[in-house]
Amino acid sequence: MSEFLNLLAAGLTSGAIYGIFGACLAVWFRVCNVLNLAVGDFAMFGAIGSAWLVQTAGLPFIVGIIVVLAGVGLTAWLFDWVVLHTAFDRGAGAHGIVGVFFYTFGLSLVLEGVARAMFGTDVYGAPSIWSGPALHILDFHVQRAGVLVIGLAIVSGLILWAYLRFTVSGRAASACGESVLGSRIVGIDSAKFRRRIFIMTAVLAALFGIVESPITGYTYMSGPTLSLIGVVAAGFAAFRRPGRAVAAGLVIGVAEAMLGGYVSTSYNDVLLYAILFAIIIFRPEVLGLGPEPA
Amino acid sequence: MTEPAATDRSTISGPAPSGPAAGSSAGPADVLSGVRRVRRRDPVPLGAGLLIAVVGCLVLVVMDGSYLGLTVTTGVGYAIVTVGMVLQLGYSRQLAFSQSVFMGVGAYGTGVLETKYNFSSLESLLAVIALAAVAALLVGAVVTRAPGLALALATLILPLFIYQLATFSSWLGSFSGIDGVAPFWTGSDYTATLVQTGIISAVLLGLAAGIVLRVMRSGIGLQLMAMADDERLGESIGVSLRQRRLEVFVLGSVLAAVGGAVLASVQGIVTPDVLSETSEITLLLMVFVAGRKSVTGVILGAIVIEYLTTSTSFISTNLGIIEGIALLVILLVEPDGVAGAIDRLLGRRTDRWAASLQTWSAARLGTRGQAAQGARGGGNGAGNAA
Amino acid sequence: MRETPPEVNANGSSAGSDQPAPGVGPAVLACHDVTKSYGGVLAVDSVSLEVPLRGLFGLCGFNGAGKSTLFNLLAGSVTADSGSVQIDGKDATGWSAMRRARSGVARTWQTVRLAHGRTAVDNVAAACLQNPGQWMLASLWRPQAAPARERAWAALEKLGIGHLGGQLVDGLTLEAQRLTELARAIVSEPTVLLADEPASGLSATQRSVLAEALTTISEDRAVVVVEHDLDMLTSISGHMWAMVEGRLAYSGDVETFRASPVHARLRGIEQA
Repeated sequence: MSEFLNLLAAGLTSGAIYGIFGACLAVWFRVCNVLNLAVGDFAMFGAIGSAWLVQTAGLPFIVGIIVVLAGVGLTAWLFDWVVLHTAFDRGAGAHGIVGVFFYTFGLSLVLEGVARAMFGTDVYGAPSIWSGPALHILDFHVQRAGVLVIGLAIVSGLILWAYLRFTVSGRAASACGESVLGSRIVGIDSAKFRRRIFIMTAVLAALFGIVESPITGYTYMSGPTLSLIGVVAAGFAAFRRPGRAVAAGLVIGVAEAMLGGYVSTSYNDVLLYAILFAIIIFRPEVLGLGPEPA
Repeated sequence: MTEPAATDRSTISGPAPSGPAAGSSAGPADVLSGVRRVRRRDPVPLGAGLLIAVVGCLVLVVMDGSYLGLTVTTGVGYAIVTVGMVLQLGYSRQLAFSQSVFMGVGAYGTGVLETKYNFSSLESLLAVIALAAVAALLVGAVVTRAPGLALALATLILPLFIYQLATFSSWLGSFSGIDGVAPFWTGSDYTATLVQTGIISAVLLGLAAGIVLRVMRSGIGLQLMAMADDERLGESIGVSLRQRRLEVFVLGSVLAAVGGAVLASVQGIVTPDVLSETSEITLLLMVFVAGRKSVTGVILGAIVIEYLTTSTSFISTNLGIIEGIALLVILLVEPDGVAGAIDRLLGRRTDRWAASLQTWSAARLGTRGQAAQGARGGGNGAGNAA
Repeated sequence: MRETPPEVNANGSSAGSDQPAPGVGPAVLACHDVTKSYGGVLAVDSVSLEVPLRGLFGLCGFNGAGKSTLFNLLAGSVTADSGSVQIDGKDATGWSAMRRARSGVARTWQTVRLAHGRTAVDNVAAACLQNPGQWMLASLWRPQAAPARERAWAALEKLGIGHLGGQLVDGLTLEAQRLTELARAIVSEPTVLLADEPASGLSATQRSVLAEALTTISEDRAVVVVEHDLDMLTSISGHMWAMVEGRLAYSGDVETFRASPVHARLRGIEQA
């Protein structure tokens, strides 16, 4: 029983990250029809950047965190201003399904390249924010960092939900996703929302990276897998409802942990990806995508 | 229509004609009319295929087994894959990320068949083609039923677990892969076998290019063009979307497998890296930067990028950054890639050249420039046979 | 160049007075009690009509009356909730749009749908392959492109835009684009053509050119035209249908239509 709970705790921890990433991706996709394939790389930069600043540059931890978050936010802002603004507000550049994937894909490549140049190929773990041995709750272990992750996920999830649901600004953001033209006609500036949500996603991802990395080491290539699962989680929410994306992320995280614990530690990812693949192909309705014309 | 001339033809006009063709006194207006604004498109398929093969062979013979020759031959292997991607991604807009997986099928297939079952190079190549075709049919039948975005997402995930399967399988050599794959042409002299293997690879590339160009220029190519961006349009003119999607997927995948077989033969070893996401990323970059609609473009792109990856250390260490920036620049500035940019710059010139050529030949042939030769032949891509 | 509407003959309809009337004789395309609703909104409500083998038929109604949806149901791009569709007497309710297209149902669209970056002749040729279901491998030795292009040129010339065939469609005027779409629709020699607001966006002069084209086309086959321009529609049609809020509110000849309350209603709002 305790093993089950341990696995559950671990699964919920990673699932929380998948879920929040999925939620951010779903909301952003709604606003501008682009999938953020670089979200995992922002997390990676948070993790490795803060670790590097503390361990190599010798900065105090809190300063390191601030510097990293600011840097990530600035990078996101720059990317939106240089690339996305030119592509979508000026009408230049590739659109359609290519635009959905490849702009942020290019960003992802650049981020990974920069990370490799700056940090090398080593594994990094940021220092713990809440250090100490694993907690004993009832019968099972929970890593302290894991508690932080889940806590952060709950807080950010609630804030996101409240924002979208209750504020005028948040409802406007939702409106952008429903109809770009319609929202523009009533004066909603979707470009502004695109930029804000992108920056917010980047900073939040970096924060998660910092908080989670004591549990998992990060390398410069840790980003893509995270991004991909975030995209899948968003997909299961039909790229529409953030709440469902969070749920999907949690399920994926728990499934991954359970498969690892009960089936096989080496093959658990294989099975997980195979299952996801099967669901997407055989039941695209789960993603809110209708059948194609024949 | 009983009296077309009587009604207002003059009110139906396209943009004003350009170049010396307008107002030329050389021949009747309708001889030249079809030629205005015609772009020079891809050259006649068989000729192009032959040309590519010949040029490739010459280049490789000149390189004479040097390290550069090895790099170029490896590039040729990737080029075969990218040629298939031009049909899939560029022309038919089928966003699938499964080419590296099929490249792996080709590479591993060759490796396994040759080292464990003693197939000859030719036998394993044919077997790999058959194997890839069957696999692509099975996978494709399922995968192309899904909507475009689902297809893209699912094939994004595919390399992830296929890669892990390969690394865990000891039969496939796990992380170290399969060693000792024979080159296409065995012999004792390393240089000679490399050159000859290169020649065979170049021939295969020419074949692949010829096939893809031929399909693109055929009536089916017209159907693919119609359905690429607008599937409802395609089905309303009688195109079987399911059939075409499947065929495009299978052809792209089979070509990827052939490319993988070439890579295995050239490098002599097959490792799981060929199946990895990095492999797929490399392929995508070759296609997008070079120009996803241009066959010659992607061939050059594949060879150049392969060269850059393995050569000067500055570029190869920072390759990720350079590739990322190149991709973004391409997407913003010229979505049809370097080839598209060149085509656009040259396009205006070749319009005028084509027009003046037509003027000249019309003048030479005088009244023989009838409708039979003129408007039809001139209008269909500057007279190329389909 | 036509500046006044063509003469009106004794029946009140100028064109197609010798065309067969719906319900009399064989129908090339028919629907019975087709219904389609979208999320609670009844777009098409139990509509039945028959399109005879030949002639020009007008379909009018306000925006949102269900005309385009009806076309989609007939052409197969949308599946009906209930009811049936027949093509040449055969039950085609379950047929895909592709199969209906190959059985002779052609259509044009409210907003022009052409493949960008390609010439007009290529766009038209895509629709008239001798064997549209050919295997891709077979295209290597039997490409079919040249005869298809021949037919495409012929169709473009028949509609008077043969001189524009070699131009990219992106650079053509709206009128030329609509005629290209029309050429694409007729090149496969369909038995019935469904034209959805083909004159939308065109000037009066351009409309008369289009009207002539449609009349010529209807000499050999059935043409159903959706239009808001009632003058143009009544001047070329031999029979009128009118839809109001998803139902078929009128079916009859043109002169009676002109005197009907439906017509007045449509006109009334038009002039308002």
